Amino acid sequence: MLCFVSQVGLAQQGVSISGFVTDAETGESLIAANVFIEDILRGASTNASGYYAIPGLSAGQYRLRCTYVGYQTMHRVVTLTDGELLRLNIALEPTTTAFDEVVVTGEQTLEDEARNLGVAALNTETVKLLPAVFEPDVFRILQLLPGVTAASDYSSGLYVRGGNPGQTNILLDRTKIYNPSHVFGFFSTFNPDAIKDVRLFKGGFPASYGGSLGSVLDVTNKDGNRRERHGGLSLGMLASRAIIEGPHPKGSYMFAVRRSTLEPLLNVLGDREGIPDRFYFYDLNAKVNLDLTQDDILTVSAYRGADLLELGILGDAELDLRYGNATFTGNWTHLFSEKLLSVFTITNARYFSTPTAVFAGTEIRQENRIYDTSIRADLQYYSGARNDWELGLWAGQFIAPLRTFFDKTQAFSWRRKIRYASVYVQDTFKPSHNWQVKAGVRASFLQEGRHYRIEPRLSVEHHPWERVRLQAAVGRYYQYLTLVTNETFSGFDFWLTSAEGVAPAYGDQFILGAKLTLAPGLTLDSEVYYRTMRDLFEPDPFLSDAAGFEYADLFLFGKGWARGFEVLLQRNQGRLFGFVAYTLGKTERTFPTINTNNEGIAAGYPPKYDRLHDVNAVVSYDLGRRWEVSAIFSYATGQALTEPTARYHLYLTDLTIGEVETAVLVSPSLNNGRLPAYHRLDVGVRKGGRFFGIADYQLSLQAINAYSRRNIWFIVYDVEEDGRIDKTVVPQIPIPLPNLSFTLTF
Amino acid sequence: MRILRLQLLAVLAIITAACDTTSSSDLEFNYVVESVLAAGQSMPPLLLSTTGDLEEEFLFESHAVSGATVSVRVTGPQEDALILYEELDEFKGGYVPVEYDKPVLPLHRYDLEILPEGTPHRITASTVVPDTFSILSTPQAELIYQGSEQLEMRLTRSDYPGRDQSYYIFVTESLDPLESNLVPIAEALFDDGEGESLEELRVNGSPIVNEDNYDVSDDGSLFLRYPWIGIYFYGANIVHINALDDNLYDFERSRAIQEGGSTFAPGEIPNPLSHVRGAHGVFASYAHVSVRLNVLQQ
Repeated sequence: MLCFVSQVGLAQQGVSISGFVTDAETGESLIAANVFIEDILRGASTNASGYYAIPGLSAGQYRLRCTYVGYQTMHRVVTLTDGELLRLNIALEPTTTAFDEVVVTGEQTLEDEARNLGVAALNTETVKLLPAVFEPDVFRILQLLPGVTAASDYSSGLYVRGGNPGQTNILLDRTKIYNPSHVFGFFSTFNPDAIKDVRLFKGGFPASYGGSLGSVLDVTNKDGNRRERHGGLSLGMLASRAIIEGPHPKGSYMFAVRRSTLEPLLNVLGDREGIPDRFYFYDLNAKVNLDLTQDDILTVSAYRGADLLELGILGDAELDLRYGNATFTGNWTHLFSEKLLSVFTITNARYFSTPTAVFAGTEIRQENRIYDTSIRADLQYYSGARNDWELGLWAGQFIAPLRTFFDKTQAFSWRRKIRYASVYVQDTFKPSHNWQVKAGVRASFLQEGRHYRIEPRLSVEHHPWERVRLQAAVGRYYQYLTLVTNETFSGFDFWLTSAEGVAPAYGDQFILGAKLTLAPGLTLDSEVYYRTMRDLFEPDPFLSDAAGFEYADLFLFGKGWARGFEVLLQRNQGRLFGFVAYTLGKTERTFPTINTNNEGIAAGYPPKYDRLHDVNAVVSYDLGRRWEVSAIFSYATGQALTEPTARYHLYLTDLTIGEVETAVLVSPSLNNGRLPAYHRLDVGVRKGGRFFGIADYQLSLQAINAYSRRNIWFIVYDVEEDGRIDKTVVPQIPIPLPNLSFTLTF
Repeated sequence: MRILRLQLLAVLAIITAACDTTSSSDLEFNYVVESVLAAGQSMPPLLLSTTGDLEEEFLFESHAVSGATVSVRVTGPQEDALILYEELDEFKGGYVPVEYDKPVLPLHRYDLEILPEGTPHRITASTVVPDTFSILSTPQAELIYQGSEQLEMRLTRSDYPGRDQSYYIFVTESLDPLESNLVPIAEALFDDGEGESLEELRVNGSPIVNEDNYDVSDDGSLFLRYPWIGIYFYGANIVHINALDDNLYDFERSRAIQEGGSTFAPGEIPNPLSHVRGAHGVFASYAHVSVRLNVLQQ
C-alpha cells in the first residue's frame, strides 16, 4: 500500500521523459525501440511513430538505456527536476553488420517488443541477404518463421497458425493491401528496398488491431533518409529495383521502384506456345515526411503495383490477366502533450482484378474492384507509472463491385457500398516491474446486414526471473471479409463481405508463451496456441454458376480449429547469425457438402496446408572482407492430399446418346493422404565492396534447392484411353535454381 | 513450471490428435448405381456395379452386380405405380423395367429401391423429374462459324418444384466428327492426335448454366444465344439443351471439380455429391430438347 501511495505521489509531480527514437545515420524513426530506466526497472517501447513516454517519475538522476536490434546501445544519465517534462529524442547508431545486436543484459524486461506474445519482427536486411527464388521477398522469409507455413515453392501466401491467406490482415502504412502478390502468387508486393519495418502478429494481437480472424502483418515504408541523399540500384534475374531517398528542408522523402525485366527474354523466346505475348509487374513506393513543428509530423505515403499477362493458347484462345493494388495513407502525428500522442489517418486502398479469357470468340470475363476509404484516430495516453491508455476510432466505406460476363452478357453482378466502423480502448497496466497486463475491447460495426460485434482481448506477461518471460493471451476476433482464392493462382483473387444472412466469421484464441534468454544474443522462445474458427463463410466451391442466386446462397458456412506448438532458437549477435524454427501444428475445417458421408453428414478434414512438423534452419556467417555466406534448410511433413482409393464408371449420364464413358474417383475422405515429406536446401554467398569508387556494391550468387530434392506439389489423376488411371506428379522446384543479383548503393 | 507443463500437455494433445487419421466418411459399401430418366421418354435401364481398383483397367462386366431386386415407385398427379426391374440375361448388372411402357412423367417423383442379393444392404434414391419445355422460335439451320450471327432461340421455361430457376447443361454432338472438320480451338485440343481423341471431342458439354443468365420475355419465355465455344466441328451438329433435376445438378457440378478448378487446392479431390443412399453413383432425371445446326467455315 505504501508503495502504491508512493507511486501515485510520484505521478502527481508530473515528471516525465519522452521523445522520438531514430536512426542516427538516416533519421528514420525506429518502431519498438526500447527505452529503459535502469535504476527503477521501468521502460517503454516506441510506438509506430517512433514515440515513447515514461511519465510518473520523480525528480532525480536516472541511468537511461536505449536499445534496438541492429543498433548500438545508448547509455545516458539524465537529471530531472520537479515538474520537468524532458523531451529526449534519441538517435541510435547502427552497428556495422546487419546482425550485430545489442547485448541483452539481465535486466532486459518488458521492453523487447519483438518477443511479445505472437509477434515476429523481420529485418529487411535479412530479406536481402538470404537465398531467394529470383527476387528477395519479405513473404518468403516470413514463411520460415514458426507458425507460418508455405503452400508451395510457387506461392508466397502466408498460412499463419492454421489460417489461410485471407485470415491475415496485411497493412502497408496502416492501409490494407487486398492482393499482396506478384506473378500470380510467386512473390509478394513488398519491395524490400522500400520497407522499414515488418511486424507479424501471428495471433493474440491487441484491440488496436481488428478485421482479422487470425493474424496481422503490419508493414511500414521507409520514411527516407533525413541526413543525406542516398540511392540504390539492383539488377536481378527477374526484376530490377531502384530507390532514392533523402532530406528536404522540412523532413524527408523516399521513392522506390521495382519492375520485372523479362521482356528481352520473352523477345528471344519469340512467338511460341506458352510464351506470353506480354508480361510485366511493377511496384512504386513513395513516402514524404513533413516536420511541421516539433509536435507535428505529417506523413504521406503511396503505393501502386500491378501485374499484366497476355497469353495466346490453343490456337484460338487468349488470356488477358491484370490485377493490382494502389494505396494512399496520410498521417498526422500530433503531440498534445508529453503524455498524449495522437495519430490521425486517412487511408485509401484500391484493388482491381480483371481476368479475361476468349475461347473461340467466346469471352469470359470477371471484374472485381475494391475501393476502400477510411479515416481513423488513435490516441495514446501515458497516464502515469502504471497505465498506458490507447483509444481508437475508425470509420470507412467499402465499395466492392463484382461482375462476371459470359459471351459479352453480364452473368452475375454484386455491388454494395458498405460503411463500417470500429472503436477500441485498451490499457497497458504495469502493477510492478515484472508484471504487465494489457486489457482491451474492440467494438465493430458493418452496415451491410447491420452486424455489431464486441471483441474482448487480454494478455498478461510476467518475468519471474531476469531472463525468463512468461506470457498468456486470450481474445475474440471477428472478420467481415472473406478471400476467394486458389492456391495455384492469385490473379483471380477477390473479396466478399458479410451481409444480410452472412454473419462475420469469428474465433477465439488462447496462447501461452515462454521466452528465455539463454545467453547474450541467444534466445529460446516457445508458444502454444489454440484457436477456433466459427461462421466461416466461403463461396460454395461446387457452385458452377452464381447467376440468379441470392448473395447469402453463394456461401458455405463452416467452422475450424487450429492448435500448435512453436519454438524459435535464435542467435542475433556476432558473425554467426541465424535461427531454428520448429512448429508442431494441426488444423481442420468442416463445411457442409464437403467431405460428407453417404448420409450427407460432413466430417472435418485437414486443408492442404496442414502440416504436423515444420522446421526451418537459417544461418548466415560473416567471413570477413565483406564476404557473407548463408543457407536455409527446410523440412516439413508432407501436405495433405486426396488419395483416391477406388473409381467407378458411368455410361448413361452424358445427357445425350449414352456412349461416352466417364470415370469417377472415390476416396474415403477429402485429403485422406499425405505427400512425402518436404525438404530443401538453399545456399548463397554475397560479396560487398566499392564499385570504382563511386558506390558500394553487393554481388549475390545463390542456389535454390541445392541438392535437387524433387518435392511434390500435387498429383493429377487422368483416365487413359485403355481405362487405366494415370497419376501425374506435379513437382515443386525440381532442380537447383541459380539466382544472381548485383546491387549498387550510392 | 506450471506454464511449461501446460505447454507440454498441449504438445502431447497435438501429437495424440495427430496420430488419429482424419475423420472420414468410411466407405462401408462399394455399390454403384446409374440410371438417368429423361422426361417424356421411356424408363431407362439401370446399371448396378461395384467400384473398381484404381490401378486396373475398369471393365463393367467384371464389376456388375447380379441378382439384385430393383424397383421404382412413381407417384404424382398422373401416376402411382410400382415399376419392377429385371436383370438382362445378356448384360449382367443391367436392369430394365418389366411390363411398364409409360414414358417418364414430368413433375412426378420416382423412388428407387435396390436390395442386393444375399445382403441386408439397401440402396435408395429419389428424383423429381423436371417439367418438359420446348423451342418456340425456329432457330437458324445454318451459320458461319464465328460469323456475325450466333445460334439464337426462344424457349419455354422448365419448372422445377422448390426452385426459382432451372439449371441447364448444353451438349453439342457432331454428326461429322472428322479431323478436317475441327474448328481451330478443337484442332489445338486434338493436337495431331496427341491430345483428345475425335471421339472425345465429338460430344462437347458445357458446365452448368443457370436460367438467370438469359433474358426472360413478358410471356415467360427465355431468349438463348448459343456461344461459339460450344462448337468443336464444322458441319452438321445437334445441340441438346438439358434441364436438370436436383440430383443431376449436384452430381454434375461436383464431379466436374474432380478435373480441377474452383477454390479447392491442387490435389484436393472431393467425392461427387450423390443423393443415392447406400451406394455411389447417380439416380436422376432431366428434360431436354434438341436443335440441328449446320456450321460453315468462314
